[in-house]
Amino acid sequence: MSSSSAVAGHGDDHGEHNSHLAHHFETIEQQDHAIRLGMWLFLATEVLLFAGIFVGYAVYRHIYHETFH
Amino acid sequence: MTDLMRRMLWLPEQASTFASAVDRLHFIVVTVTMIASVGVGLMAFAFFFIYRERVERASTPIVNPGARFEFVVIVVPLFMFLWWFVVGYRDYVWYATPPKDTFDVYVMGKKWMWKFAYPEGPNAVGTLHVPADRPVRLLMTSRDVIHSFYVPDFRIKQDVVPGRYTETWFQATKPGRYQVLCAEYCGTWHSQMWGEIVVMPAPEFDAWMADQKRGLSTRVDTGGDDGMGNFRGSIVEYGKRVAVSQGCLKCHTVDGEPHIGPTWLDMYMRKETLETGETIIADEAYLTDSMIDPRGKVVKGFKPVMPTFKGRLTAPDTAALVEYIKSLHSNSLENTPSKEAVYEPAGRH
Amino acid sequence: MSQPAVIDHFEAPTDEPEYKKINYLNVDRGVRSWLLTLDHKRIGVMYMASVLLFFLVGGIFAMLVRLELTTPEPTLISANTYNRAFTLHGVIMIFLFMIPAIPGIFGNFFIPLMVGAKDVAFPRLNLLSLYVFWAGAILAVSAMATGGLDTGWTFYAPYSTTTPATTFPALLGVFILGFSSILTGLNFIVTVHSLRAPGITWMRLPLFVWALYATSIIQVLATPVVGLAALLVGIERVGGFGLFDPGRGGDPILFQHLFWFYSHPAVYIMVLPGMGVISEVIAAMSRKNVFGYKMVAYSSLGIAFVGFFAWGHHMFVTGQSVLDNGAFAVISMLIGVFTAIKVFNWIGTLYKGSIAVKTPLLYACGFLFFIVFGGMTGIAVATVSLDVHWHDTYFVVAHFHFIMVGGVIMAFLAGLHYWFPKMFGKMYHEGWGMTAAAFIILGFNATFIPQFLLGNAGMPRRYYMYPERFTALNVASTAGSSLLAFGFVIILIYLIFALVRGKVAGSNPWGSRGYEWETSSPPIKENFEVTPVITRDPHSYQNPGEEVEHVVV
Repeated sequence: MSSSSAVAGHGDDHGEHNSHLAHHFETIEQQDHAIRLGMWLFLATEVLLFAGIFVGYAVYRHIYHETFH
Repeated sequence: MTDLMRRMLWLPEQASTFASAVDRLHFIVVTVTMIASVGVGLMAFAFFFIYRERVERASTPIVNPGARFEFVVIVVPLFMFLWWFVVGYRDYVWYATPPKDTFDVYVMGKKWMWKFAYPEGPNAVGTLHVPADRPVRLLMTSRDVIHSFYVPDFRIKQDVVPGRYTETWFQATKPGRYQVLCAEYCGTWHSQMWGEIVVMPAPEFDAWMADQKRGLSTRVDTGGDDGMGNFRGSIVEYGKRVAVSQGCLKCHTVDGEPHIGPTWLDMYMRKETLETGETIIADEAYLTDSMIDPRGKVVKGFKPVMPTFKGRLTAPDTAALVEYIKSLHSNSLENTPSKEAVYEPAGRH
Repeated sequence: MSQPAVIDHFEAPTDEPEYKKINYLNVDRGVRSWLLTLDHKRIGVMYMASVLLFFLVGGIFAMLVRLELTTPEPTLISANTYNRAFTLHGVIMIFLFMIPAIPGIFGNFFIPLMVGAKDVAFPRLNLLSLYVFWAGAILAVSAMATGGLDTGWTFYAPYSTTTPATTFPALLGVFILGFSSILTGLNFIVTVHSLRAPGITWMRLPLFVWALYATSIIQVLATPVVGLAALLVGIERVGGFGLFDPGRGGDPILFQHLFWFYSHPAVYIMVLPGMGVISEVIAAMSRKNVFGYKMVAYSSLGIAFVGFFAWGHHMFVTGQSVLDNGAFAVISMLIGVFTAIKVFNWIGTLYKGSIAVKTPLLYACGFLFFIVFGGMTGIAVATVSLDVHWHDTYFVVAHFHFIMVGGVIMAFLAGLHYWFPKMFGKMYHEGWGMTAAAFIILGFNATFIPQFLLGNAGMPRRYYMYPERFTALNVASTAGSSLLAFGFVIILIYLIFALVRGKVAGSNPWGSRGYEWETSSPPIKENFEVTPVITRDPHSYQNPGEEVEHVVV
């Protein structure tokens, strides 16, 4: 949680302090870029996880089509 | 020289035609590996000394490889590895392609023993007799989990997989006794699943085989009950016996006449339409299934009256029945076990 | 905003080493501040404690196996216990040590420092990774308490789908552990893409970061498949479906494909981070630029990519077609070339360096020998005709232990000793360090070289009892393993001693030019006082004012 102790290193003359900006990012653009990249990567892993199941189903359905009457 | 290297490397003796080819490549690969690794280690050590720190926090030159260095460093290992690949693959293709007229043996692996059966001869547990200097092909399957048939002295190994047949072949060059080890973990006694191949000079082998077929052998090869009650004959003959004693032939014919149940002639791998309308292929799985759960997949046109044989048939019994059914095809004039494989193992080129 | 600091710090050797009084270790106190931390450094330290604990457990199982194998007859334990011992040794060592160790500890701790960031891209996800690791580990290890798993770490079907032993907790545990790996990989990839400080271009990234970047790609792409494979075995056991059991219409070889599709890239998840550590250690200890930086960086990516296509070399004798076997064999050879490139580059880094032989470098030297030996025996088993004899024998066991222990664990120990002063601000005793290294390197050789010969002689893997002719080599191997174990015990003792009573190390005891050495030891919670701006390469050792000599080989 962001309730961890005060952040040093930003200085007080930050300009606009965006409340959505997490402390370890320099700018909101950087944070945005990171979030998008992270989400796409995660989706890729989900695809891989389920692709195996679906491909397996498709293969077995094709080979044993009579069982799926 | 090669024998010296063989001993230094703890390799077993070379008792098959494949072994000497394998060892030849082995010696080269191992020698290069030793030279390269020791060389790299020593070079690092030497550099530790030659370039030791003389001034604390000294600065160093910026050293980088030129294009030619990179080229050599990539191309030399690449070509060496590819050369090994070519030799190894060529040897492997030869190993994976049984010659035309092999002497076939059926091998069945099950926890934790090896069972052997000649197409027209006796069966055995644990010990396999083969002639020397003749190519022998092993047609193998497993009754339960994956095992692996490994004969170190021949340098051969092939996984034995349930639900399918795998094959391997060898030509033994020296009479003697050679150990078979299971090389795929299969449970509690995996490490005791041993067998033995007895290689006999050809005339001696032929005499032995004739002896076996007469059933008058004085040598005891089968150790313990193999589940067939020490029946001396082929699996197929045993299957025929089971079919009679269990009453299968009351409802199934072997000559093509449909009776209370479908005929067994040409049944194996026959495309059948079931009561439900779906079509199946009558393979080992279906045949075995029908003995245990006969009401599950009834062929169209027949009544679901077959009783279950669960508990009445042992695993060797069901296997033998399947083999018997497999042997019943209409291009063989008599009900003798086939002399050649009834199937083509997948991947045989 | 205050002026960013330019990192170009030259530490004079006469500086009094300073221990940072308020640092990441003590800035927040209490168990809650650790368990709920978002600080990547604390997470790294918690990974370290967990991973080392599991290493100890896995090591105990290893000793049990080796002791049992001292005689060809039953020695200490029953066959069933033995089968559980080697299974748990494998499962714990691979999933609970080898895969998480270097990324979880040093990756977490140092990647933000090495890219000049305050933390990883997703600190909360990082903490979740740790929790998931603990959850999966507890499940997998609970299999021990409920009778134990006896399938081998490879879980081959149909043995794994039919064995009466308790497999479900372990399978579920492996599935869950996979997510820890995936989330860590995801975090590192985004960190390297988005959080690099000004001046750190891709070609200025420390090679450790390149190695972990390549590793993270593999983690993210391959791990879901093994999770799936483990889950399907569990589902088959519980639901009775016939996916892999031929008795129910399934295909046992399908399991092997699914399993090895992950498990071959997995070995690169294990080895690439180690290679990254070696690049750092050799450069720092020889005070020299890395010879052929670009080639080392790209070869990491090359290994990651080509490694995905080689899995079938574990299945040469399953009845795969001759064509398949050839394809997998050739591809496996290519990976060897990438490793060869790296080895030449590491030796080239030593060339014309200014080398101080300290414990990390000893381990790096061991690494070089073992990775060439282990790597080339890998090429050897990839040569199909030879693998027919060697598959599932002790030759393969020796090969992978050479890479995993001789390679990765040496690299881990090199990294541990190299970075210990940075992580904890204290220095270990160099004499004991070298002594332990000697025991480990010699003990390792004594343990595993006999195993190559055992494989040649024909001893299969996972054997509880064995034919008598294998006795001498087995006894030799067990004797060697006691030296190896002794070495680890020595390390444990002097490192704990160093933690508590070691000499203050200072911010840069090695005089390394790596970016992580530009902060205090131990680092403050925010890593850097101000965001650094990098104007030099990470492995460059030129003193200011001196003429720079360029050499092209």
